Amino acid sequence: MIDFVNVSMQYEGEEGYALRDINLTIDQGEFVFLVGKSGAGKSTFIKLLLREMVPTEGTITISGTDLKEISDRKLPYYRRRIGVVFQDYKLLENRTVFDNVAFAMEAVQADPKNIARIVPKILSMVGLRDKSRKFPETLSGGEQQRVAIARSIVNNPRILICDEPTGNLDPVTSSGIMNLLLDINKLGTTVIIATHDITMVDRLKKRVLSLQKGQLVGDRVGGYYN
Amino acid sequence: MKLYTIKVFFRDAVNNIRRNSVMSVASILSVVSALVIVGVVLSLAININYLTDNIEANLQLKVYLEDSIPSVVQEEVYKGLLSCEGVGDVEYQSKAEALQSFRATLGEKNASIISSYTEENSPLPAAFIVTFEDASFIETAYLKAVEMEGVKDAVYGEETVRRLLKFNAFINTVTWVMFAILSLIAVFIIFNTIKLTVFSRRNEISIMKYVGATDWYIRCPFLIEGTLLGVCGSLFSILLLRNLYYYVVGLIAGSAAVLPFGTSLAPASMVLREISLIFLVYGILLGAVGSSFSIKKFLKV
Repeated sequence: MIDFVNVSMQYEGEEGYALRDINLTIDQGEFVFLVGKSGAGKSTFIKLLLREMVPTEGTITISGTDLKEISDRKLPYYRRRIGVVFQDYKLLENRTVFDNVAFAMEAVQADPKNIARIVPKILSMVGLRDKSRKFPETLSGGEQQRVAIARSIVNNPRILICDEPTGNLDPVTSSGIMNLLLDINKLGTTVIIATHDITMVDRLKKRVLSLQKGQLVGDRVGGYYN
Repeated sequence: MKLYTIKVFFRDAVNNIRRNSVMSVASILSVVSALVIVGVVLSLAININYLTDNIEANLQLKVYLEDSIPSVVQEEVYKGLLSCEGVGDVEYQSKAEALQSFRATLGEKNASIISSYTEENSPLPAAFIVTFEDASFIETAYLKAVEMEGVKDAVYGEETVRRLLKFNAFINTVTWVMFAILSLIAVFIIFNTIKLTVFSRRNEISIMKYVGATDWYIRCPFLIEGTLLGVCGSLFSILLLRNLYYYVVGLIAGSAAVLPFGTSLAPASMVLREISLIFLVYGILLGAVGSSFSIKKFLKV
């Protein structure tokens, strides 16, 4: 489904490579951890997947579409197939939980009837049905991340990319978030998680892609961080 | 486009205006000040046009007769004037009638100035009032009339018309220059308001991008915001100008005739109709142009 073939990325004006000669395939429905120290290339990997930039060498294809070939005009339609979750949640403080999630549907011009039907369902799924009228600042970190996850999956993407989703959370809350991501994965969504959370990676025994100085140094199913 | 989407755009635009209320008020005020100044000059221009047209249509030659002129000579003058090319009618105005007419022009309030004069001792000369079928012959008739025996003097409004036309051209130039300068200022302020909105909404914009909102979907609310600011500004200035115009019309109507040839100001309904339409289109344009520039410069989608 996701194919990296000889992908290298070098930022303009910089000597070294942010990613170097990456070859990998991620199948539909997989649950993958992307690990590595800061500067290992995780963010670049995610940016390439989001098509925020194109690789300097090699090709990335998703379901047969070469990301380089996607025009700026068609880019929004590509992004609708991908959900993103950030470490800092990126919620809109002046909107309620419901409106934060509905916002993602409004942005793709979903039918208002569908918005009214789907948003409560998704909020139930992430365990926030009773908090839909609350504002983000009144929620705990874990709850805020659940809102962000609800927003990222409300348009039913095929791939969910999470950038340090538990980076700001305590171990118990992190575990809850990870279970939620596992549930989403069970529904058929490919989940890619960039993380530093060693315990979590070790506990879940899923496929782990290890990056080091821009190179893929490990790719083991059921592998451990260390 | 779906109706719901349009509703969302307007909701966002109105929310943006509320959130940046200080800058929004500044934008509206800048549009109002630009438009009111332009409006004052514009209504002056409309009035001068109106006056010029009025005066041209009512152009007449007044041939003043010498006092105690023999009736034979007076008859000669009358015939001479009637025979002039382009003349429609020649009417006699006696000294007494001239005084009456002057009294009427002065109005009741000011008539006391000439209260010592009666119809018997009227200081005003008798005259023939010549109206024309074709006003272009007025100068030829004037030249002929002043040469006639028994004619003291003759006058017509040509000089006034010429001056008015000159003044009209001047006012037009001033209008355009002001229009341009004030428009630039208004566009600049709207540009900055939208810049602030884009900045304050950068988080929202980045999320929109990630969830796959199209470029025009992201841009539309900002364009609407700018346009709404322009429309608000133009509506306020129409209201302000309307009251100002009625005030001035009232002021002039209540005082002695300051306008030449008994003409009046252009009717308020006519002036306001013309100005309202221009203002509305202009306000929309100012807002749209200001926000487009800002979107282009600051909204990287």
